[in-house]
Amino acid sequence: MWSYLGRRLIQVPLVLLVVSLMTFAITRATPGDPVTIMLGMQTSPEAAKAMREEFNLDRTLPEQYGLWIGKVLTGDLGRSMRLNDPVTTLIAERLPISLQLAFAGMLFALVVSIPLGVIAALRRNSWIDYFCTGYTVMGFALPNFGLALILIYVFSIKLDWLPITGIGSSEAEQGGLWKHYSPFIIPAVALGSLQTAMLTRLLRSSMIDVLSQDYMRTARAKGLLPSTIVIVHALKNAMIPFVTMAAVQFGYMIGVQVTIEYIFAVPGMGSAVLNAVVNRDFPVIQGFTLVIAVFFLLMNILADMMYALLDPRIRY
Amino acid sequence: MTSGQGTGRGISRRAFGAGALGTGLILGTGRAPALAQGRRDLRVGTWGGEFGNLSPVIRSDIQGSLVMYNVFDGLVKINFKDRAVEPLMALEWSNPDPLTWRIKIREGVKWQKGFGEFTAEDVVYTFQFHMSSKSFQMGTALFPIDTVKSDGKYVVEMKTKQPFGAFPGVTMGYGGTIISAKAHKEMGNDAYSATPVGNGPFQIESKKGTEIVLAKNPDYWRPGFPKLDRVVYRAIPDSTTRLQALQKGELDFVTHPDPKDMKALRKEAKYTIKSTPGWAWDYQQFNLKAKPDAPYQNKLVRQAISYAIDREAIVNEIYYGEAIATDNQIPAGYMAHRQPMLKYPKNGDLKKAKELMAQAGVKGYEVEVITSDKDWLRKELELVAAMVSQIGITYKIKNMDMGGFNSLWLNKKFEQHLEDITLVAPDPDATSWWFLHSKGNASAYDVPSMDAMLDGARSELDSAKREAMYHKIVDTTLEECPIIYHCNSNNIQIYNSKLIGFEPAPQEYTEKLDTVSWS
Repeated sequence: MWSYLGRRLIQVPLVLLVVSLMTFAITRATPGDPVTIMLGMQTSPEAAKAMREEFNLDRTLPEQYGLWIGKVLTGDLGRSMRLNDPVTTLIAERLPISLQLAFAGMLFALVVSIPLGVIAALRRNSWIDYFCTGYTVMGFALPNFGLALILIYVFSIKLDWLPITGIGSSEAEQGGLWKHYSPFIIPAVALGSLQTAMLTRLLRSSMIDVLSQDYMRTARAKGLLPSTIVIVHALKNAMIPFVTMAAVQFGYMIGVQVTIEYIFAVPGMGSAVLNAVVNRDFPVIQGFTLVIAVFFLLMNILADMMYALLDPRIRY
Repeated sequence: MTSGQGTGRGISRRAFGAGALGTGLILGTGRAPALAQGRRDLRVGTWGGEFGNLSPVIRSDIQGSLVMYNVFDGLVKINFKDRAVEPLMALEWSNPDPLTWRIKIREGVKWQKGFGEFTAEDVVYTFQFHMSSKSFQMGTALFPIDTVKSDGKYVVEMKTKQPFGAFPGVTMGYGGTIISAKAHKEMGNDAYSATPVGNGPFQIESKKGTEIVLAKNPDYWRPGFPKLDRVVYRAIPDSTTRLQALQKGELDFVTHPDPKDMKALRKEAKYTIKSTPGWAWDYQQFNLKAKPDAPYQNKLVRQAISYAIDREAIVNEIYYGEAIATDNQIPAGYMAHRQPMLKYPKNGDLKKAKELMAQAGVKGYEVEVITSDKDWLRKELELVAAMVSQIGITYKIKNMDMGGFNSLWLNKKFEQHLEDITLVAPDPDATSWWFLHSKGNASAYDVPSMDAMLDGARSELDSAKREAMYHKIVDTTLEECPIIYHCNSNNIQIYNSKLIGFEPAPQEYTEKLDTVSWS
């Protein structure tokens, strides 16, 4: 297993190299000159030239890439063309918030999907199974921003239980536990709704599959407690695809929070990338994409490692 | 000088998913936000994604400027009511000859955080830094400067390359935000950009991407100001969220609400609403430097389009009344402003438009019209397309993101566009030269007689003569229609009614919060 982990980790830099090349190529191929956009009307040939030199945009594309990747290897992701802040500073501000939100969204998805998926599988064609089906259909069909607006209306405006904004604000961070974490609740539920539906459905079908296996009949014939059969023998085996999906989705959630970040004014990674794309802020697009890719890769490796823990037959 | 709203407002400043549901959400609660008597802090929600650079010597957007103007006091300030340039850090100024400006600096003003006194050396350092770094201002407010030097501790002498009538408003006004030489040298340009040391009413306590906390400057030169101890700015991109946060008491003051919510909000006594006609236009521009055979090269066709437009309908349908219809480039508060509507009727004149099309011998044509990603402009373009279709012109609408739009616009790779723009320099030179002179960055017009008029008005030092010259420039613009102006949209702020002392301005980014307090 350790050698497998080593092999996978060796692949990480290669994948990141490909990601960095593709991101670089896409940013340069997209119409829109960042200097024109940044300076807007407030430009002059001298100011534009100075800015091109400052960000190496006067060099050839291979030179630009080489200079950038060389700095990346030293931990320097460059400086935002629009904000003038180092990209590493921007990531340091935003990544913890995105991680917290993704974690909260995934926590919600797990807390709901595991019991719901198991019960729906155990009580096939019962009302709870139909409820589960309806819930998952809604989770897939209702976009997270739509759900967000409904949740705001009910829990913030009507009931006044939860705040709308505040994630990452100094007021929340300097407040108590509730002040700090309560702004995460609605965004996390909205963000995790799709994953909840996805994981519930996956676990239900996986559980149904496992429950029909011969060893389940054997377990029952041995007289094991139903709870032991379900949790130890069925759920553990049914969790293998579930864990993979959950890990991959966690990596995915870090990069796709844009709409949720927009609605709840969350200073996360997604909105920073979106603003950077709109303004063709190359260093920010490249740096953030690289970091998101790192998380995606690490989550995939983590999922593979979890296989081995859950299924003793799997050996790397 | 002008700045596109794009960089600061790349993402819609209005609702994302704020349709009927969004409106319902805003108006759903009847609760009053919690108020604390004797408060000395303020929480402000602004549009946009993040606050960027806050240094006046590096390119910045309007969102950053909103904060910057509370950290810095510039050389002069603009009295919008009297259309006058008034002293701030510059106590008085004179031009002993057409190329020389002598500026007397206010004594006893201290830089924040113990960086010493504000002197003429700081002014010289700032302008020289602009020149040596070839900053964005060299293409705008500071282009006429030849040399700058101090004459003692409190006098600055500047020489210009050409007589520049807009010097007080443009160079000292828009370009005259001064940095601390000592702090800038010690901190370095980039660190200074993140947390600059200013001379204004507030100093930066902390800055994260989407939040800036300002604290009272204890050494501020105006006794008794600022009245607040702390101001927290938060960037909240969605206008619906901003309003909801205000209504829930998470914020005290928000900018740029969706105009469609104003009617209902005006009925609520717990909020004060300020809606001020802004120094901004919505406008159509023709690229007259390209496609010499295009029908719109004929000025009669352009006039016909201007006559076909019902500007009042734009104000009502797009801005819900929170704008002023205009047909010319000089908004109220500028020197040479006369009135919003000078030639074209605010409801349009379809009969006249059709007559002009017939006179031009043009029966109808198709043209590609581009706009950016601002949702209200996309709606406006659809409305305008319907209006001009009545005279046989078909607008093929191409919606773009802000970056793509700016590239096509500023590189003159468009036929026609509809966009808005915020005017940032308080002189009519800024409303005309850059858009109509053949060398202007935003100009797609190349007529020597117009160039001569614009250069003449720029060089004239006598205000009365300049005013008359700009009247002529405006009249010519209305006749030639290289640009068709639709309206000046309002800057809107909504805040807790217990806040007093806020003074709105047509230039939103110049609004200071030093006079604001809780009643």
